[in-house]
Amino acid sequence: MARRHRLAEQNQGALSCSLGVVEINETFASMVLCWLIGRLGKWGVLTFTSCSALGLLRVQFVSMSGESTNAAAVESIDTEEELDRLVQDVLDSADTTLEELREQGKLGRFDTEQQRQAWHVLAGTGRL
Amino acid sequence: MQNNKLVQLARQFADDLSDLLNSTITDGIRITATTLPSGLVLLGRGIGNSNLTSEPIPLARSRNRPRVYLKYTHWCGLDDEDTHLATMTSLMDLHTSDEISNESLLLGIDYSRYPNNEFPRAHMHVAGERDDLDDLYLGGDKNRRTLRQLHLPVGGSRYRPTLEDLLEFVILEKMAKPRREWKKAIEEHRVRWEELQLKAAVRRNQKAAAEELRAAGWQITEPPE
Repeated sequence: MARRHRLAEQNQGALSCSLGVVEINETFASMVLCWLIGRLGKWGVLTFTSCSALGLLRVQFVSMSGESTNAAAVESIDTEEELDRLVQDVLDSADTTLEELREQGKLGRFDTEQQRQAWHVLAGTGRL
Repeated sequence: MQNNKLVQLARQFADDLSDLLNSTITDGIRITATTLPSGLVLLGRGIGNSNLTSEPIPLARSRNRPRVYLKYTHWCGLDDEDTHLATMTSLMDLHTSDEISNESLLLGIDYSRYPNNEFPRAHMHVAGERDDLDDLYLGGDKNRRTLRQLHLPVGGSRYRPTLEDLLEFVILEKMAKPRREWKKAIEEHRVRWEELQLKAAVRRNQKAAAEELRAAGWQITEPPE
């Protein structure tokens, strides 16, 4: 609370905002921040930190999930060896083998949800 | 070597899914993808060239505690004409925890274009308890089944439930607090999906489509052989 009071005191008059280099007045800054929260909130959150030495309020956009807000990454697995290693990781985490998954897939019944999901992950790898 | 067309369409699809999630319920979720030498592409949260298992997506805004988690895994590839993405398999599960287990499953919607069993290509698994399922089982081996192992048919290949439907279910059943504009977002994405499905249906059923258009007054001529 004390911190908030300090911020309010600091922000009497002109408020600087590190989103840009321009100095903007408090009313206008509030409007801009509300607009930004509405627009960017879809992808993450805006965080506010004060810099008491300079009397500034720093505004920073942070994606909540830590995931990039750029266009989706599409990577590639280029060799069968790489794929084999990843397939084994999936099998290990579901505590199963390819043979078990094949058998369960044919029956359409999986012992665990991890195995049902592993089957779907491996379905496109050509290993089942 | 990545197929440029496949990468472009996969990126577009992943962005579309991310937009749907972040316009309705979530914050900052990114769906990513990786291609395989076989020409297929896997999409999900956290998917890349070092990970094939998608991470559960908390269905809540960042300031709210999630009640349900979405597990989303989607395989697709180019269709026979090499022009559109075609889904090979997909899995959309709702769980009550990010620790995936039999107990955390609420429901799951599976699709397999080429299933390796006799069950419907698109089906739903619903979790729950029934004591009398063995009484309904006439199979040779009296294997005990649980409710979640039954395959409830849903809509067939073309009209199976979509992510839009699942998110709408979560919102209408009050499992997540939606964004203000969620209905508009669902509707926009649904219209796009339905249009894609309709176009695909027309490509695969051209005579029936032409017949219907002729009945509506269009002048349609058959393409040369």
